[in-house]
Amino acid sequence: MLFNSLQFAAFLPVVFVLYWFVTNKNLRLQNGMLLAASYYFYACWDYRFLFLLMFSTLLDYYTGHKIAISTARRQRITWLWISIVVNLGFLGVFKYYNFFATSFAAALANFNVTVDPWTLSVILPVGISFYTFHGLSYVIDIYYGRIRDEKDFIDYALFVSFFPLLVAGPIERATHLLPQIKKPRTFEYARAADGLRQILWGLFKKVVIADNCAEYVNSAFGNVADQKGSTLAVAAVLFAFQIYCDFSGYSDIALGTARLFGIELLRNFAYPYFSRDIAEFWRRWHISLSSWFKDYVYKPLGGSKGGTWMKVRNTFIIFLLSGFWHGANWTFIVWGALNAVYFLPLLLGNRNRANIDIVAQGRLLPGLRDLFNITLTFTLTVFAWIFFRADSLGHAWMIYKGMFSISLVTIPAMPMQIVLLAPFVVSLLLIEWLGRDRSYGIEGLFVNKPVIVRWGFYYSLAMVIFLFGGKEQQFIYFQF
Amino acid sequence: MRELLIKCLLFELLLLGSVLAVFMLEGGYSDQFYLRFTTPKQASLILGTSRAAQGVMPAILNKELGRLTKHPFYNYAFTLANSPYGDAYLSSIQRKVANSNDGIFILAVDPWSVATSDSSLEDMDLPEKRNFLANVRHVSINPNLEYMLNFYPHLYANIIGSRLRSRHHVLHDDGWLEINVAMNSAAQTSRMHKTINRYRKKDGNFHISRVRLDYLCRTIEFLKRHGRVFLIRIPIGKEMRTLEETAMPDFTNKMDSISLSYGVPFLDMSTEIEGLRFTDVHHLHKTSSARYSMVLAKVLKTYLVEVK
Repeated sequence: MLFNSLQFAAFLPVVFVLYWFVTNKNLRLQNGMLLAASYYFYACWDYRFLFLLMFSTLLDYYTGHKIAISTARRQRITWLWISIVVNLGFLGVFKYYNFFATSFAAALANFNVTVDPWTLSVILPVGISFYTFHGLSYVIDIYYGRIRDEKDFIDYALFVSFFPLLVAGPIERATHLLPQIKKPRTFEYARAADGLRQILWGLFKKVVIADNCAEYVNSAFGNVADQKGSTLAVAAVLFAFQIYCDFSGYSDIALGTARLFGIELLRNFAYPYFSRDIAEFWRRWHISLSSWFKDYVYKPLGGSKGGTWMKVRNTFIIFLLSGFWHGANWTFIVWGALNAVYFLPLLLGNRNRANIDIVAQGRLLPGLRDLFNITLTFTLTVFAWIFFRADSLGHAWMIYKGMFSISLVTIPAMPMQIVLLAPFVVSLLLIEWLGRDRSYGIEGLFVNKPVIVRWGFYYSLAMVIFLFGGKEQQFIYFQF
Repeated sequence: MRELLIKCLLFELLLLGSVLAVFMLEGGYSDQFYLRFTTPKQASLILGTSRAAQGVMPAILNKELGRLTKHPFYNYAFTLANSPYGDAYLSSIQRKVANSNDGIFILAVDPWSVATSDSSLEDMDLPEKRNFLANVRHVSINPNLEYMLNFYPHLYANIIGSRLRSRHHVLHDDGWLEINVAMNSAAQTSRMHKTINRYRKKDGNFHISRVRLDYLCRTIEFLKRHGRVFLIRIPIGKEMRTLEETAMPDFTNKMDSISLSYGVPFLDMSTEIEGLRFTDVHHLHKTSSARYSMVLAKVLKTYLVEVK
């Protein structure tokens, strides 16, 4: 069930009414209903993988409990490792096994050893990378004594499976979400209205920008040999907008939907394309994943406390892991490594926290220096995204080669759909720039204006989504 | 909470009204098929692929045949990709045909409409099964949300835009598809070469299909229960005729044989009319469509008068 489908448009109001009108007197019943709705939501993709989700939930619930009641350190470590190994084992089998098997065979082929690798013919369970990380954070937090184990299974299962975040995050923490699940929620009009606004903005980004960009990008990158360099360059820039609007649009819909149920999820994006350097970009892009790696990998590895070598090593580990988390393909690993290389000068120059404030705060326009830095960071990011989008390293190489050819200075292919898209991309940038101190683009837009202005704006936005919505595309991050 | 629900409901009604209004604006200028799924069930149909969609004008048949036909003709022909004879097209025809037994059905046939690229293809493998004709369950509802939400191929903004832009095509209320293209010699020759080259590529792969012939027969059987059936072959350019004869030389024999078996006339007029103009090499230009429809009406009249 996609967020941008009619099925979801019918599902959400039903759950909303059941939540606030039918089960609202009893928190346990309310959470139980939300859990059932979440499992139904998940089963709409493939009900067989529901058992995997339930098993993962049970495993972490049980191991978390065992860690909590064990007094001996050895026992606690054993339970922790059982959880880590089994969770990552599932992830490994479903997501990475074929990659390792074929890469191993390819490596052996370099030594003239021919091996026909045994590969699995399985589809990747949707959301597995996300709910595995939910569960792992819970168990690790119990191990380090940051939280207590959750006694109520339904509450815990809801923490893992709450439908807005189940398939593509944000990757939640037990410390943040569980207390909200355990507390009775009261309906707040302002919060719910805010949630609806955020859903509308997320839909605009996904349906109008991302889905229309996708058609151009798929057509250009799907047939690189026949494209002009300029068309490939436009496709690379449009892919940057596609992936941003696809994923941040998804996150906006997830956060907005959760707000309708009185629940606040972690913020996932903070206008990353207005970043002045790569370090800032990574503090603003997929924040819940970056912070997960920081807390559960980077810090345990020593973080930035050691010498320069340790900092560099840990940074590379994080970026490579982040790349590998996205998918079992060398392209993602190279993408991660390239970002680590971008990051390196900032780290060595101790300038990785030079830009932690909001760009041009309190001013309408950025200064020339900020503008230059934003453009440079965006260009570097676009360059790296090519690896992320390419099917293989060879494909990425073909794109770069095609792009930096003499035909780069020709007029690119410009179908009407892209010409129509241009004003919406400009509007997106403008609205997000003006709202960059808010949690999402239109959070404060027209909020204090008369009802006719507000409704006029929402109506116009909804009609733009309807009239200019591209062909329905799967959310990119569902594949991770 | 109730306030929010009421506001949401009002907002959704406003949106739904606007969406329906936009769909109602589709007057045949942006989509070449949609209007055919919005008209009532029909008792007399023109069926086939794009040759029939553009080549047979119901308005002229209705005018020429006058009282000989009790129900006005409606053009329910689509394209080769969507409406070759097969399960998908037959199911859609069954949904569109009104409950009467005195209609007239004109089935345009050509070698491609009863062929497949793989002669071993079975019923369930026919490629058009994934297309709209196989999947639109309601073919007589206005506005048709099922089609619009699932199969409309452009941005919805195109519905408004195409009313303002120059009209490359217009789907008329009676189902006839009018195509407006430049008819200067260069443009015409270029389109002809493109079409011939495209069909030449098919040439070696396409064979008359047993499954499709079977569906043509089933379509005839079904339509005979609702009135009189005529098989026609629409005029085409010389180059296309040569290509078809080379690719599927036994087509005419097969049609003659079906015609005999089912007692339905086969009116092969693919070479008889002089001076017709084609937009490419197998679609009649609208002026020639009018002329051909007139000739067809005269021929049909002889059959219908005989019966009377």
